[in-house]
Parts: sequence; structure tokens; C-alpha cells
Amino acid sequence: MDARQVPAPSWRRPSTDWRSDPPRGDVIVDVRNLHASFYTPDAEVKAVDDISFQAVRGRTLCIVGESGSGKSATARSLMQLIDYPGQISEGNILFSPGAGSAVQDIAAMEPTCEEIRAIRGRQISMIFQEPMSSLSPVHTIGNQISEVLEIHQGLKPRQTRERVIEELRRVGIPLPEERIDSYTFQLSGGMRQRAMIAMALIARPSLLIADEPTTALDVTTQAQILDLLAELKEQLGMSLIFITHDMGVVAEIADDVAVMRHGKIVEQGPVDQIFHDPQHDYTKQLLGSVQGGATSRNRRAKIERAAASPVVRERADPAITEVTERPLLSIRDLRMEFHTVAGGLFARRSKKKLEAVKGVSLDIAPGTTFGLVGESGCGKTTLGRCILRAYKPTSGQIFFDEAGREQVDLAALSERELKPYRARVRMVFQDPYGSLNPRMTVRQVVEEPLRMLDGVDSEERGERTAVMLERVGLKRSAMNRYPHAFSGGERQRIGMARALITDPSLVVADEAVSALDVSVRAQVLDLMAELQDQLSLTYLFISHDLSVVERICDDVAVMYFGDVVEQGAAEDVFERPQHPYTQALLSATPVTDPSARGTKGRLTYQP
Amino acid sequence: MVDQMNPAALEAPPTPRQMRKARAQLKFLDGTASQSQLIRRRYKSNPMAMFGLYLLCLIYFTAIFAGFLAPHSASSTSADHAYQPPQAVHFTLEDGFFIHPTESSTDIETLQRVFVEDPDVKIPLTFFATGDEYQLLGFIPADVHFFGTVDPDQRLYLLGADRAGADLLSLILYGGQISLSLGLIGVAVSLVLGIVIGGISGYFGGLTDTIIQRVIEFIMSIPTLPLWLGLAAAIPPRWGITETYFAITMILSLLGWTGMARVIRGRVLQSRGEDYILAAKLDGASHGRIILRHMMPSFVSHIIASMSLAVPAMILAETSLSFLGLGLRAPAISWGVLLQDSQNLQVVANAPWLLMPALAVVLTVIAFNFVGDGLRDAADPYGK
Repeated sequence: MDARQVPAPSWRRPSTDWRSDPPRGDVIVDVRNLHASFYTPDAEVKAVDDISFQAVRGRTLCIVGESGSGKSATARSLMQLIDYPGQISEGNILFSPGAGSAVQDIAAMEPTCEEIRAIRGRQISMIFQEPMSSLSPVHTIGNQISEVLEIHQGLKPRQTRERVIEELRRVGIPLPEERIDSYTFQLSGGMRQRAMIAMALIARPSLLIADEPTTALDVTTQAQILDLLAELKEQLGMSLIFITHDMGVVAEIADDVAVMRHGKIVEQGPVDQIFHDPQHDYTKQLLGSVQGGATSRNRRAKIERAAASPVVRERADPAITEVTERPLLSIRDLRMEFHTVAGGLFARRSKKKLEAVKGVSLDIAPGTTFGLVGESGCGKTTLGRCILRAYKPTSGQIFFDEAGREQVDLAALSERELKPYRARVRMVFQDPYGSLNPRMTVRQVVEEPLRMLDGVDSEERGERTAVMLERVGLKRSAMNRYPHAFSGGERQRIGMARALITDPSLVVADEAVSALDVSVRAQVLDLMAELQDQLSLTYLFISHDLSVVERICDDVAVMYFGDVVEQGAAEDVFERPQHPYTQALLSATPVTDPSARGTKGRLTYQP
Repeated sequence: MVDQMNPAALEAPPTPRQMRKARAQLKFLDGTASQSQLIRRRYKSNPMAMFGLYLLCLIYFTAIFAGFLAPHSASSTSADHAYQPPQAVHFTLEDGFFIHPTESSTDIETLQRVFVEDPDVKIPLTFFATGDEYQLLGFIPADVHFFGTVDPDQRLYLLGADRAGADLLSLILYGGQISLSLGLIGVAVSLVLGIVIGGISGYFGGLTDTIIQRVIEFIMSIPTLPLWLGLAAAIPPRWGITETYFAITMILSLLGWTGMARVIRGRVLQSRGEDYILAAKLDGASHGRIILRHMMPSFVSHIIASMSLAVPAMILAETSLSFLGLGLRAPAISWGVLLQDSQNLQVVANAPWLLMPALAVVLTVIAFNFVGDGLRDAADPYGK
């Protein structure tokens, strides 16, 4: 079935006559009644549904929305880059590169014609979310950047090289003369994104479209990239359209904001108006989830609980707590080494030792939420997996001490001895898509851990699964459906049900809400807090997102390259960070208030 | 009262087929459709694959019911009709289907056999004719043929005859039984070997993996044809049809499992890194359960796809071996054995219909390839 035959191609569609009503002079892109659809064999999916907005010259327009809101499809429409089987079906995209220059309707151009190729890269450029996959791994970055120049301006090779080096210097890549000849895998994520920006900017476009350029980056790197983009925009007098799902980033960088949902723009206006006087409920909901409205309830509840329970009241004095309350989990000098191997003909020689966790000691009190924060590659996931005994730690002890049971060292147990504890310590995964087997029904997924417990027959398993699904806010009827029928948030609830069905005492939540949209994230966090109260759970909450950790955790440990550099009560760590790395991390977190922009200095940490 | 008689009320109640369709549609919408149902749906939307599937069903049907469909038994010959060309079937209203008998003679000058039709005599044909005895499905004695001469002593050559005067159509149908089943059995054996060895190699990794991979590379590096020839030549000539048949199957599958093992190892390696496999491990599932219950379903469809692409290779291998005279030998009948007759250029020039078994091979291989390609595309949700 050829889906392309279904709709009439847009470039042959008679567009409404925009020439009688040309865009204002200070508008660089005027989008009018844009529709873009994906044509699948089953149905037409409207990704962009009748939206209109204007990007004003020299300003930053943020298009904000959750996954599936059509923000990326909008951005790609602006360059006629929508992937098959999608295409623009209606509307105008009126683009005028400079004040008074000719106006062109991009929506009326064919995706492969000369005109659009002259615009792409030359007048409108784009940066993508994942620099590793949008840069070619087999060419040096210098090669890739020069290509833009070769296509658009016939410079001599030598001049081209100089221009590229200059551009790399401008985007803040140290030693550009050497880095120009490096391949993408030799650069860090932040450096790659800088190279991508250099590539986008080298032809001096008048409009830059950035599609979630910082989502794949750590907070500290994100802060640097945002600063760089703002600076370059000023220097080069560009206009910027910035696509993001993160209201914190919007507050940092936007001049104007358009909020998208289900392919429509629900609200647009200047950033101050959006943040301080939001009109639409959805905007309020988005803001609420970052400014704490929705989830601060958890924290309030936690504080109330803390006031009521004698155990936690004593925790005001840490020394007393140590004595009266035995920690549920205490880690002593835990080390985890990985050996990188190189293949010989028959034997495998170990080549290099990589220390992911370097002697970590932690105590987690029962009934609390312990936050483990750090940037990617700091060893926090490895630590979590050692506790779960997905890995066998190289050395150290993991004492697991449940009330009414014997204390055991999880690190020393054999696979067989470990079995009963697999039901006591459970995990919630980050990726709601990859962590559920697509070939198994929800019932099969959730009841799997019950199979290892003796004496649970099929009927009882089904009943417990149903009860647990209701508990996490899903319907009983979800049992017979397959994971692909659920949204990300619902899948994460299924993951929670799987973790909790054995009635565990400790749950390791590894970035459990990072892959979720902000509004869904708040719901899942609420659910986690609710279940913690009902089932007296202890959480080890691993996350790179400081705002989430600050909101829900009682204690926090900050990891940096395998070491815990700082730990303590959440209030202390976030209010009075001691270690310079913690300080740098906190200063990089976006402030969710546009009027406070620039009031906070950025700190960097160089050990 | 009249307005109650709306057209919808007059319509017949939905047939069971429509009900089934509606229920299936609902499954896709509410997410209770399993992966195999989704794959089936995608497969059905591919016309080439469906064509291949129908063709394949037809081919296997004819092989299974060869005795019933073939006008003659494989062993019935007639020296008078050696190299008889295909006969044309005529039809008139009063006589029904009939053929004219032929008279053969040898041309004195060219020494060629010449067949002359006698247009005055009509040999009547009929459906469900009584003829040679055979065993339907191997155990039901029968003598009714789908199509044949009314008089069991008359002979019918729709696709011509070979040098012994046996009906080529019947031979092709009987030959299909061996050629087609050999492909399936051979692939089944190499599949079992491939799953076990490839699964172990991928799941446990490390030294086990390295050793298995080196062995596979060694086997793959041996030139195939000389190795087949060597092994096939080692089969004692006094062995009967059945023994030779199994020996050839074993030789082909013992050398054919390597590709399958690599495919499965790759899939196991890939799914070993999935989050849901780690989840299963943390759920306390055993190694066997993880491989069979958690990993296997995700690549069963790929296995079936690569299997259906391996069957034609197996059939072709048997055909080439037999063609070279080193596989099955007469009186066994396979497509390769039948093609031995066409080794002689002169024979092919005089009796080109002897190449008909090659057509059967081509049709089967194409059908398997269509099915395999269709399955592969349907099993990959990200393909276009």
C-alpha cells in the first residue's frame, strides 16, 4: 500500500494567496495555518494541526511541548525535512532572510528542489538532539564543517580550513587547530554539540533551529551550551527557534514562547507573560510541574510525616539517628572494576582496568528516599546495579538489614543464596519502552517475579497482579494487553507494579522518571510517594535531575567519577553545598523564572 | 411503522467471518493483539508474500498427494513411448476430453524417433480415472487418479516422457516428495543445531563463544562443493533409497547449520543487552527460562524468516548433488535425479521437455524466497 498516493502533494496544492497580506518586516518566519501529517496505512496522523506563529528577527522563540506534541515536526517542516511518510499538507511558511528581502513560501517548495537546498544550511540551519548520530562517524569534524562552505561558498581549501578553525574557536572548542582533525568519537558530548553548532553557523544563517540540543547532555554541559547559543545569537544577529520540553531551559533562553500540545499551539506570547500570567490550563500544568506546585505536595507530606514519626524527628541530630535507627542498607568501601578486553585468537587478554565505583560507603535509613545524583558516567548506575547484584562488586560489603531478619552481606552471596533477596530488593528501570518485553502481556511481565517464590499458583499470581495493577493506578483489564498499547507513563506504572509485586523493602529507581514528560513525571512521582507511605518502602533514587531529587529525597549523595564527593540530608546539600563540584552542579541547573535570568553566576569545577 | 424499516434493520445479521474480522480489528485497537498477530497482519498486506505462500501451499499439496494427482505411477514405463513429446488435450462437447494416440518410428536417415498422431482414434480422458495402484499418504491403498485415461492400459503424456517412456509429469510430482521434504528436514536439523550452538555461544559469551565461532569459521571456509562431493562419494553405493536419502540430508544439514547459528548468536547477543532481560534476571528467572521464554519469542519470527530462505538453498544443494550423480541415484526420484537426463546436450536438443523439473525447482525456490522476504519484512516493525 503506497501511502504517498493518498494525499495530493502539498507543492501542487493551490496555497491561499499570501501576497495580498505579506508578513511584517521584522518577522523572519511567518507560519500560517500549517498542517503536516504522517500517512500510515491505517490512518492519517496529524502531527501539526493548523498552527500559526511568527518568529521575530533577532529574538529567540521557544516552542515547548511534551513528546508527541508536534514540536519537532514543526521544526522540520520549516526546512521541508519531515521524514517519510509525513509531509506538509496545507499552509504557508513565509521566510524572509533579511529585512526587506524577498519573501519565499517554504511550504510550497518541493522537499528536494534547488530553492530549498539554497536555503538549507545557508539561511536556515538546524542542530539536533543527539550529536553523535547527527555527525558522521567516519569523517573528521573539520571535513564535515567544510562541506557546508564548499556547497554554499566556493572558497579555496586553505581559506576554508582557516574559516573552520576560526569557527571552532568561536564556539569554544579548545585547541581548534588540533580538534579540526578529530573524529566525533574522540570528542565528549558537549564538544560534539559545539562542533554541530559550528557546522550550523559557519554559513552565517539568519535563522537557527535548535531541536532539543541539550536534552542528551549533562546539566553542566547544558548550561554551557545554552550560554554559548545566547552569546552567538547576540554576536551574529541571528534569530533562534529553540525546541524543548524543559520549562527550565525555556526560562533560561526564550524571548517568546509557543506552547504546543497534540499538534496545536495552545498558548503563545512573551516569556514573562507565559511564566507569570499563563492563561491556558496546560501551560499552568507544565509550569506547575517544574516550579514545584504539583509535587511539592509530596515534600509537604513528607515533612508532616517526619514531624509525626519519632524516628525521623530524631534525625535532626544525625549522631542520635545512627544509634537508634539501624540503616536498611549500608555500603562499606564498595569497589567495582571493569576490564576492557581485546580479542586474541582463542584467549581474551584483559587490557585495561576501569574503576567505575571507587570505594563508596553509604547508609540508607528504612522508610526514606535516598537520592544518588551525578552526571553521566559517574558510576551511579553501576553502584545501583551492584546493590541489585546485577554485577558482582570487586570488593566491599553491602549490608542489607531488614527488621526481623538477619543481616546479610549481599556482595558476598552466591547466585543461589541471593534468590530470596531478589524479591526483597527490586528495581524500576529508566526506559519505559526497553524494560518491558514486547512479546509478553502485562500480566506475564508483572507476575514473572512471583514465579520464583514457592507456593504461588497461577490463580493467586493473577489475583495479586490484578491488585497490584489497581494499586499503581491501572485497570484490571490491562492484564491481557501488550506493552505497546500503553503510553510512557502507563508503562512506568507497569514497571512499578513489577517491582512491587513481591512486597520488597528496598526499591532502586534508576532514573525512573527521566524518560517521562514533565506532566507525567509529576504523576509518577506522586504515585511513588503514595506507595512509599502505604507499603513502607525505602527508595534509592538514582538521577541526574537535581530538581527532582531536591523535591523528593530525604538524603542525598553526590557522585563524581566513581567517588561520593558529598552526602547528607537533602536540605543541607542543596542549601549549603560544601564540595565545589556540588556547587557547580547546582549553579548549572536552570532557574525556572525568566526574570531571575542571569542573576546566578555559573561555577565550573575542575578537579 | 414505515420509518422503522430502515435499511440497516433489513440487512442480514453479520456472518461469522465478519464477526471474526471485527473482533480482530478491535484487538489491534485495544492492544491485546500479540506480536504474531501484528506480524500476520503486516504479512497479509504484502501481495508478493501472499502469492508466494499460496504457491508454496500448492506445491506442497501436489507433493503430498502426488499419487492421486499423477496420471501414472512413477515406475510405470512404456518402451514404445520413449521421448514421447507432450501431448495436446482436445475437447469436444460429445466426446469430452480426449487425446490422439501416437505411433512412433525411427527416421532412417537421421535415426531420430518420430511420433505421428493418429487423428482418427480418440482416447477418452476423465476425471477420477482408475489407473495404477498407489498408497495415498503412504498408507491408504488407492487406484483413483485425479485425471487420466478411461482405459487404464492407455497412456497419457501431458509433459512428455523420459527415455524409458515414463510420464514426466508423474515423475516431477513424485520427485517433489523427496526434494521438498529433504529441504524441510535438512533445515529442521540445522535449525536445532543452530539454536543450541548459537544460543550457547551468544548467551554465555567469552571463551565458549570464541571457540564456537572459530569452529564455525573453519567449517564455513571449506569450499562447499568439493566437501559435499567427498562426503557424498563416501556413501556406500549398496545403500538403499531411504538410507541414501537420510545420509544426504545429514550431510547437507551438518554443513548448513553454521549460518543459522550465527544468526541466532547475533540475536541473542543483541537481546542480552536489553533492559527487559536484566529485569528478568532480577526477577529471579533461570538461564534456560531467560533464553527460552524471554529472548526466543523476540526472534522466532526472524528464525522462521531465515529458515524459509534456507530451505531453497537446501533444495538447490540436493538438486546439484543429484544432478552430478553423487546424491540420490535412480530408482530414487528427485528433481535433481530427473535433471540428470538432461546432462546430454543432444538429448536436450531433441527432447527439451526434459528440463521441466528445473522449472519446478525454480518455482519452489522463488516461492520460498517471496515467503522469506515477506516474513522478514513483517517481523521488522521499523521497515517501510
